[in-house]
Parts: sequence; C-alpha cells; structure tokens
Amino acid sequence: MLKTKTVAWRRSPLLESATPCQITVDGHLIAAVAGECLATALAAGGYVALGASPGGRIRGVFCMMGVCQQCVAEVDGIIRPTCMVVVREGMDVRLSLEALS
Amino acid sequence: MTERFDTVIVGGGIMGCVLAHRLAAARQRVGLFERRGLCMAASGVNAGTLSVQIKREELIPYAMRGLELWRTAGDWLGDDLGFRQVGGLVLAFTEDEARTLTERMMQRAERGAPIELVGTNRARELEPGLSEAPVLASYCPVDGYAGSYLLGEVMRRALGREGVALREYCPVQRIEPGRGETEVITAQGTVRTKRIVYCCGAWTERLLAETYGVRIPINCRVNQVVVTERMPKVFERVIGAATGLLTLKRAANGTVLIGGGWQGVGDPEAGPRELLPENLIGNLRLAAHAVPALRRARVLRAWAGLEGSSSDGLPLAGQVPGQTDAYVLACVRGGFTIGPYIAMLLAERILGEVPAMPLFDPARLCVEEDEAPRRN
Amino acid sequence: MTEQAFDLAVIGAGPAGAAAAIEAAQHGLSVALVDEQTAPGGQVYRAPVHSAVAAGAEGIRLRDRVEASGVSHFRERTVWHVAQGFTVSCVSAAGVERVSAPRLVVAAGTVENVLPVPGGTLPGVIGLAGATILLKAHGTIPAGPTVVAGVGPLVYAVAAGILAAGGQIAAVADLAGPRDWAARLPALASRPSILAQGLRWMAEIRRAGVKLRFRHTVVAVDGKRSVTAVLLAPVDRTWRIRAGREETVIADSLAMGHGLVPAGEIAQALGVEHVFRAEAGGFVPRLDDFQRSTVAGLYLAGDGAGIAGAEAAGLAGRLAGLAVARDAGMLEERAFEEKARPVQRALARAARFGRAISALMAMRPGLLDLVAQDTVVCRCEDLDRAVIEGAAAAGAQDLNQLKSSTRCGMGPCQGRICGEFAARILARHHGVNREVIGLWTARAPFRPVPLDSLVGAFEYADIPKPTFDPR
Repeated sequence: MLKTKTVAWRRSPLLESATPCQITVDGHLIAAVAGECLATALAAGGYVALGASPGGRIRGVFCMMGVCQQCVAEVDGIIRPTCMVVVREGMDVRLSLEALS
Repeated sequence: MTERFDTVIVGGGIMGCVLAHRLAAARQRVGLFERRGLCMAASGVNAGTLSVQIKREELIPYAMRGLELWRTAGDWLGDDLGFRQVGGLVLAFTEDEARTLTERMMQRAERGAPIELVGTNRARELEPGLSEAPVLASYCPVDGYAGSYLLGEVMRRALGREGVALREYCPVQRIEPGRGETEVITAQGTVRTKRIVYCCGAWTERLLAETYGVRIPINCRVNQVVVTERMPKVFERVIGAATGLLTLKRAANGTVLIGGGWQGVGDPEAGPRELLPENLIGNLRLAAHAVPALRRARVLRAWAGLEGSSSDGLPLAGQVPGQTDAYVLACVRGGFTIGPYIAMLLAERILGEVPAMPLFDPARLCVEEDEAPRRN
Repeated sequence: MTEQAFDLAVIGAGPAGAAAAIEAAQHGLSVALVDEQTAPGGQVYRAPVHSAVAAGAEGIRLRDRVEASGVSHFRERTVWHVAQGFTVSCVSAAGVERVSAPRLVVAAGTVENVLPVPGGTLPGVIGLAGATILLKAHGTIPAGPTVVAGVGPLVYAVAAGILAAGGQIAAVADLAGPRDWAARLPALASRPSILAQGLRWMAEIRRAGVKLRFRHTVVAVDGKRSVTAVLLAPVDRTWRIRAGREETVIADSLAMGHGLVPAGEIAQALGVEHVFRAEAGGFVPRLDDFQRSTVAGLYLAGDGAGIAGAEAAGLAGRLAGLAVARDAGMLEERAFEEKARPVQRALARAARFGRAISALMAMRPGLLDLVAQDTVVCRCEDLDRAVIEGAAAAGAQDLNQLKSSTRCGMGPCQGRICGEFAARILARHHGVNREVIGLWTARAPFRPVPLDSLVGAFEYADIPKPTFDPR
C-alpha cells in the first residue's frame, strides 16, 4: 500500500527521475529515491510532523545539519537525525508522536 | 566590624549543607563558605542512587537511617528532590560474582538491610527489563533514587530559610586557629568563629595539613556518570552489579543515569579534567549487558565528579586530631545516601548531645608527615 | 575498535579543515580528515547527497583537491570525544574507531541563531542555513509559498535560490534596512564579485514581484500542525517592533536566521582559552597569528574560531596547515614565513569583508523583546522565556546554573539551539553584558550517540573490571 499525503517539500526534478525505492514509515510504504536525504524524502512524502517534544508539541525538520535533533526518528532501530540519513531501499522508519515525559 | 559565628562550615556539599541547616535550626549563627556554588561537586553530580544494599556492612545501620531522612526530606528540608523507592537489584553475572554477592549480602542483611537473594526468574519478574545474563541477584525493596542535580537549589532555599550566612563562590584562603576563636580569611574578607567544620571532600586533606599540620591521606576518585536522552520505560528499578561497577536508574523524566565509579581524570586542584572514553564504553557495556533495551537509547551527556575517599573507606566524622573546636566531616562513600545522616550525627555532637550512633574518629587515619603517601 | 595514527588529525571538512589538511599533506604529513558529511565541503560548500543534484563550482573544486591530496578522509563519522594529546573518538554506522595524532586542527564551523517566536517550533519553520542546505545539497524546495526572514546575505541567497528552482516566495523580511547595507558598502566593495551576486539576488527577488520588506521581522507563526501564516512587523533601528503595523502573510514555510555562533565545544573541552569578541560571534579561542591555540599542538581555523566567512576560513585553514607543517619539522622557519605571510595578508583582507557582514548581522537589543514570556526557547525540554526569567530571578547567574535549575540545554541538541538566546535573556535580566553569562561547560559526547554504536558486540568477559579501591 502506497501512502500519499500533501507534499510539503518538492524534490529536484533531477531526483524525480533517479532510481526510485520504497521505504516504510510507521508501517506505510512510501516512494523515495535511493541515495537522497531521509528528511527530504519524508517531507516530499508529506511527513512533516516527525515526533513530539516532552510536552507533546509537534516537532519537525529545523536545522538540516544534524545539530537541533528536532527531526530524529528511529531508522532501522537506531535513533538518528533524519537530515543526516541517506535513504536506502527497504529502510524502516518509525516516528514517535507520543511525548516521552 | 568582623562578622562572628558560632560555627563556620568550609565546603557546601551535601554534608556541609545539612550540618549548617541543622545547627542553624538549633539557633546557632552559622556561616557556610563554598568556593563554587552549593553541591556542584560529588554531591550534585553523582548519579542520584539511594541504595542501602550497595553500602559496606559497617555502614548499613547508617544507610537505613539515611534513607529514612531522605523519605522525610519533604518535611525537614522542604523538598525531597523527587525521592522514589522503586526497589533495587544487584546482579551477579558469573559464579564467582554470585559467591561474592551471596557472602556480602548475607553480611549486610545481618546488619539490618532488608535484602533477599533471588534467582534469575524471580529477578526478571521483579524487573522485566533485565537480560538473561545474571546468574543471581539480590533485591532490596527500599532502594531508590533522587534527583541529585536539584540539590544545590534545594539547599540554597533551605539554608536561606534557616538564616545561614551563605557565601558561595567565596574560596577560603587561610585559616588561623586561635585561643577560643578561629579566624577564617576568605576572598570576601575575614570572619571569626567559635568552631570550624571541614566538609570539603577531596579538598579536605590539604586544608587540614596547611592549617594544623595534620595528615589524613584522602584518595581522590573521579567518578564518571553518563545520561541518556529520554526514552520509553524499559526498566524501572535501581540496578547495580556485584562487581560494584554499575549503577543504573531511570529518572522520572525518562532519562537513564548510568554510573558505577568508572574513573575519569582529575585532581582536587584542577577538578575533573577529562573523561576517559574507554571507561565510558566499559560502563555502557555493563549497562547494556544488564538491560539490553538500553541499546536503543542515545547517550546525551557525561561528566565526572570528585569524591574523597579515606584509606579505610569509612567516613571521617569527628574532631580534628588535637583540636577541640575543629571538626572534619568528609569522605562518606555513598555519601548521597548516608551523608545527611552522618551530618545530623555530627550536629548532635556539636550541640552537646550524645549522637544516636557512633561517629567516625578521623584520628584513626592520621599519619606522620613522612608516612603520607604522595598524591599522584 | 580500530585506532589509526597520523601526523595530523583534522576535525571538520569545510573550507577551513579541508585547506589545513591539504596544506599539511603537501608538506609530507600523514593527515586524517574526520567529518560528519558524506563528502567534504562543510555547510557552505555542502556536497549534494545524491549524484543527480548539481554541485556548486567551489564545492567541486574543494572535493577534487581533497581527493588528490592523499589525505585520509574519514567521512560520515561523528566525533564524540577528543582526548588530550590527541585521540579523536568517532562513531559511525560501522561502530567506534579512533584516530590519533600529536597535532590536531579543529574546524568545527558554526551554529545558526534562530529567533524564538510564538509558533516558531512548528514543522515548516527551518533555519536559513538549513534552507541553503535544502537547496544546495538536496535540490529541494518548499512546495508552497515561503517567507524568508532574518538578517544577512543568506536571506537573499535563499529567496533567490527558491525562486530560481521554481518555488514561490510569499515575502522577504530583512531586519537590515537599505541604510544598514549602505553603511557596509566600503567593506563589501572589497569583494566586488560577492557584492555583485548579492545585488543580482535582490534584483531577481524584485523582478519576481516578491514583497521585499526592509527593517521587518517575523513576530509570530500561525498554524496547528504546520505553518499556515507568518506575521511580520516593521522594526526600528534597535530592531524593536513598531506596534500596530503588523502584516499577515499566508505561507506554509518559513526560513529564518539571525546570525551565527562559533561551535567551540571541542576546543573548550580540551581547555583552550577563550575570549569574548562580539564581532566574531561571541566566545572565540585565543589564537596566535598562525592559528595556534593556547593548548600545545591544537590549532583552530574557520568560522568555528570566529565568524569571518568562507573565504577567510579557507585561508585560515591554509595558515593552520602551514603552522602544523612548521611545528612538525616539515617546513623550515624561513620557508614557513615566506609561505605564511601572503596567506596572512589575504586572510586579513577576507576577514575584513567577513566581519562587515558579521557586524551587519549582530543582534540588536530590540530583538530580545520579541521573545514573549510564553515562547518556547529550549525546544528539547519545552522551556519558555518565563522559566528562564524565573530561574534568573531565583539566582541563576550563568548558563550552567540555569541548566541545573531548569534543564534548559539538557536535551538532545545539548544547548546548541537555545544557548545563545537563553544567555541573552539571562544577561538582560541581570543587566550585564552577554559575556558575563559564559557558556555551557563543554564535555563529551559532542553529539548524542546511539548507545548501540558505542558498545557494539561484546562478551561479558571482554568488559574490563577495574578495581578502583577496596569496598
């Protein structure tokens, strides 16, 4: 099942014609490009809310350089800033929208 | 005009603070001098474990009473720092460790600690987050933790309420003992006091030597602590290891504190200087060995705190050898648990009462000048 | 765990780190260049992640030079600890490894300040630096209308970049006014090509019919789950808003930035003496004329040692590389001086330009008034300004006291995002200069590190069991 949402970011037309792949986000398959940045793949797939702060506020991509940690998600079992992750076929991404406090 | 005190306390760690609080509550004029902020060394940067079962046999009765003080801290201190008694487990991972654990825990139970040795199945019932690695565990239901990082704030408020003259960021430069009165020369001027108490942890050795020529060797430990970011509740109890190399707890905010006395680099003069990555990794491996789900956590911060340790590992609490109006209160291993109680005992002594439990006379560890081992 | 020894280790493969590594390698030193990204370039010349995205000319040149230099490039490594002497501990998907060298160049770059405003934590709000990375490294643009705001040349670079890629700009709000820019013209004119590029960006923005608001700021961001509108308002010379003249702009993205702060934590943790220089972005390491720090064997270069721009960073890196070669005995004193002198001169010129930009971007007092009491300052821990003011009123004098009393800066960004504003709020509260408030104590790990990567696979017997003392 391919999940479609409102596109938040538009990838480069050059990437749209590059090798496609599929990744899983919270159990839903989404189309991505092998070798692109995971944060942009998520945004292009309509995922802008990537998690929640301790108080339950929604957080998403902010600094794009691995500093702010606002875009972290569990990627293949390890918590990583999605802006620093390169997409691979079959990548399993879990977002945690519940507050951890 | 020179300020005068009944008691001046040098060092604002947990014991200096509790002592000041208790003496001021008994209407003494108390001055507390701290070279940095309150509880910024071992007292405030330890991992916050409040455990009876990891204390030495001789200290068990003190630890039990120490825990009671923590349980009632909301009443006498005004804040209990999020004290929780979640119960604690100490794990043995090999048959050798199991033997040591059995022997030690039986001794400690004999001294009054509610400790029960449990097999691996029972241990995992008590703590489902445990791995299958332990071969034996001990369980102590009264063990718990409190938020050590809050200690400075809480003490500042409590001492303010009792009217203690608190001087933070005010290093003591020199102390001149005199007949009936001691002069304390600080960065912010000179005060006089009837008595003085040294509560300066790893820094105590130098002050005693400089002021009285008294040599009590104090070994300076540089304990590393690691904390993870908030994570789901993968375990609940306070976890230790029979080797003594692990303390593990989940704080109320979801972060996990990992300690166990793994050493960093530092000394009393410069403070904690450097963290040793191999010791951080060793500590983390032990934590992951005990609770495998910790592998999913991220390590967020690490630090080290200096802890003074006497040569026999027992507290220094009593008169400075050869002095009538000078006292030492330092080197309580596991001082976060026991320190407040030992401080209360010394307060009783200073107030002319008979302490409810024996103190720990520092004279037992006095050495002659040339016997003193050199600090490395 | 593997440990490899080199003559020089360099942390950071931006223009400064890469130049230092190349220069030292050219003088015969074995060099390890350790970096978080997939390819050299740093943030300013950030390499595209996917090969289909076109890279800028400077970035390509820099990567070719690193490639040809014989420098060992340790890419996609996160540096989490550096020991004196020096051992750099890294972690990557492959686990932990160490690089050791008697000399170390740290070129760690900067962190961007982004003004905390109501709604500023909503998804859809990104930093200006982040927006340039989206454009350069990923060829990606916001799909809907975007507001670009803040201060400095990046405002125009981002707006023009989004337009050129076919995106839509709803408004541009520059805190600086035409007069602020004009005042810097003499210094800016020293780099005519960069000045011309700036003017081109501005012309493109005007040609596209975009609302261009000088002396304006973002006041608040609207939206429930993501940005739906941005509120702008004019400001006076001190950047205080002129009330009653707000304007709502419909947009689903906002890119804003308010200047840069040097990322000094590695140098601080190693004990390098720092001094406060507002014009260089705040606390910067004390360096000699050849980029040597106060710790023997440790050299610092680039914006991480004081904001001066990409061109200055490259030159400072070269200078550091020369000093390393000289100190390692691979370059004679006279040859060193001959080579260093022109680089120093060029660096002084480039730094003048960089400082002019930096001065234009320097935060003015009114900006802090925009941070409302209930505006989140520390995103990781959800702490608003009122919490920080409360801690200040209760006696928190510096960042570390603030941290222990509120948990501000204790979250996963390790205080990098909130630190500058938290410090300025404390300074304002106590009526002291920013420098009095200090910095967070810098310690390893320098980034949040997955515990799994640190511990790897092991047997219980392999864990050392040090006995520290009798129990």
